[in-house]
Amino acid sequence: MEKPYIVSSPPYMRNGETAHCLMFDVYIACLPIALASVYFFGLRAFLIMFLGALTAKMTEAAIQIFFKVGRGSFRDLLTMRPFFYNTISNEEITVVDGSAVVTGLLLALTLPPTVPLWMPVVGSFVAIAFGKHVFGGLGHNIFNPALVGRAFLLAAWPGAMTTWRPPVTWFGSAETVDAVSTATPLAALKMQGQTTPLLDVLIGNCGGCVGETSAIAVLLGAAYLLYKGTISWHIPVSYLGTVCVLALVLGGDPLFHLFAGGLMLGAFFMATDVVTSPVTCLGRILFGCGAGILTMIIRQFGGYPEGVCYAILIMNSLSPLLDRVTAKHVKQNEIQVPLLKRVGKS
Amino acid sequence: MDGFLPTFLRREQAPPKSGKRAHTQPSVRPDVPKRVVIPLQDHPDDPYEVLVEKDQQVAMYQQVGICGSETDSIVAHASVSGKVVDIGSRLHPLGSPVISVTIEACDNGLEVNTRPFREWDGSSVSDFLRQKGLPLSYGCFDTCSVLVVNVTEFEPSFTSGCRLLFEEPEEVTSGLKILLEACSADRAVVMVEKKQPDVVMAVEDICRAVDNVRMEAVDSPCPVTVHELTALQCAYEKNQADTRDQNRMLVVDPQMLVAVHNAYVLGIPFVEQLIALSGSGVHAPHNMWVRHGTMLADIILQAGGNVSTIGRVNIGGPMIGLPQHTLEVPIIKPARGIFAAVALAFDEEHHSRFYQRCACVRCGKCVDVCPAGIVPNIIAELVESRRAEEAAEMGLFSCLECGLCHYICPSIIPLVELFKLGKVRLKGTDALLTFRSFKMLSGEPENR
Repeated sequence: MEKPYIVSSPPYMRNGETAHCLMFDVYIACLPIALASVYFFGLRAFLIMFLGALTAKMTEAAIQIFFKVGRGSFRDLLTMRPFFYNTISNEEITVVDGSAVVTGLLLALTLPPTVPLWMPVVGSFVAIAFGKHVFGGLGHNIFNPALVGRAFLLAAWPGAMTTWRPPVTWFGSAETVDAVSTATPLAALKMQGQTTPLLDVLIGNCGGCVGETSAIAVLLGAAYLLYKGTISWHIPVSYLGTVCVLALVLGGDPLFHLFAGGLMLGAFFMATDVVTSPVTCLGRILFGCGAGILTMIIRQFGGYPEGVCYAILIMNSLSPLLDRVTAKHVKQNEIQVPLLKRVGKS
Repeated sequence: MDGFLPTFLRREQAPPKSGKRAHTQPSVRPDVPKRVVIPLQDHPDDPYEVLVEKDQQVAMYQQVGICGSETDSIVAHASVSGKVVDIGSRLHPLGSPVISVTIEACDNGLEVNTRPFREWDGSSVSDFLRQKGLPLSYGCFDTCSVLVVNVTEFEPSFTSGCRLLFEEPEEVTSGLKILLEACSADRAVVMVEKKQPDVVMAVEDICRAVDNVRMEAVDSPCPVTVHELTALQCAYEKNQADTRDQNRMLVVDPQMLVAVHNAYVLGIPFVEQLIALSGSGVHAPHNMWVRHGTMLADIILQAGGNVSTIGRVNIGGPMIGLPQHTLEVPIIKPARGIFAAVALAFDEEHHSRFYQRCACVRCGKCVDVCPAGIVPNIIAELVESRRAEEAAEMGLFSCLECGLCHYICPSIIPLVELFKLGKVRLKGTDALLTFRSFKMLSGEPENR
């Protein structure tokens, strides 16, 4: 008569969110940026993003199948059937979780629209292979893989990575766009001392990378991420706030520094990468402040006109340290009840 | 494909409050059960004393045994009048078979003289309350400085505290007054949620009636295990000879205040409690007065549940609870609710591969949501790599085992299970707060 009931550790409720949902949120948030980039730079921008995402996915699939399934069983490859079965049923193959596409897409957003089409392919391969899977896959990487790919491309082919062109004019004038070369607003400010109108910088009608020119599109995507709770406000607010304050101190235009270059994309999409940023609230705020200081130092005193990429990469290497410093430490066996601290005080 | 597609709306960051119906519906008082089993121990090694014999007719409120040693004991009372049919080993909700007194209910006309405190010849109120079988934290009775009444609803549908405030406000007020005079605390704080305006109004009435009582409206509810954690903190600070005694707290819930009033003024021992029934296994979430020692099967049948479809039962709620493998266990004094779910609702075998555990993506949601302010993902990593001492330095023993981190984790990491594992590895099962909070003896917490 009596049947045993299932006994397991509570809780028995979940809010149903998985890591895949976090990745999907980033796709949706990238949608306005992708649309803006296609509007300003033509279908070539779409091609760059598509190639970046596709290569990232295929690289991750190849690496996981080779190391998780195919390792030591090349005979399976010949007979095929167990190979396919192993590939489908292996729980370690996490390529379906979509994190590779996020990496490839974010990498493509940081490339200039004039790059040759093999460069997003190479960049995505480096980002996934050497930025992510060398460290052990999702959740174990130290540096943001998309920025690793961009840093590699910038170091290897600096000429192609710093050639810009003005936005496509869809209506009206018939000038040939390919011949004209232009500078990003930050480079123009640094090299020639020219300032770009703030409205152009805001809506993206200026030279720059595929995804970073239109600050409005980035803010739209970021609003969705903040609403969904995929990212928290700590890093973007402290990052942008530090840049703003430092721009005032160093005598620049704070609004121009906020909206020009890749700062918006970096603050909302790159620095908030969950794997490589600290987990504690104070750690996140310190991370954002550090990234802001480094960005402004590179922008004002460094050789590059833009410093977001390297600032975030340097702060990524510090995030385990920030976690360790800012996490709560207690004495051996000490018990604290912070929940009731306010109640007990008064 | 569940877990694959996103919802375009923000996910809940805390368990939903599904107890709206239970919140407004009056509590029910079912029939007297045919049989009650009153355990005298929590563990087979605990000391106990039996005061009745087999085949003896007992009256309601008669003492049937003493749980615990001489210095730390509470008295067990018969919750129905009837005949003692068995004194022997019975399964206890905490997992082991313990000595219990089984009483078969019948109307035998016997009566026991219940004496209130003013007719009692003993010395202190705490001894009197032990005599009346109240499971309070007597360890911090003489050292606490703040009396905290927790009326927040942490578990979904756990509305028994709110119902007591609505239905028996005089008893709650009087109990608070008595307890505030009896223990060493000079002030009391009632914790309520801001989102429950009707509870806030009820508490405001109580605050007006008693001196030195303040209402604290909090944003998020307070888990029930905080009672045990404050008791442990009290013991720790006492052992450390720490002078920070201005923050020692005694946390009680409205159920205990009603019991204190009944015992002190009317002399009625603590034999009946209001428990909340929730989950898909019962007809609808509601509150029910049950006698101690009633079998879970009887309670669930009374609540309109179908025993044959139930697949999971635990004493407590879905977030903090004590899972049971059978319905043939009695309800115990510290229990405030029963969660019963039908078998289909949690078929873990049929989840898609997106609901399987993956590596921690360090999203930090567990850190944002943790009421204890610790870093769950790093502690879980340390426990899993068998470095529990380091985990203790990161605040493992401040964990409330409330389950919010598990609720929110997108990587499906069993965080609470890992914390419990770490606690058991370092200190044994007594360190588990959920385990302690369901123990009947609530005297001096031992040195830890």
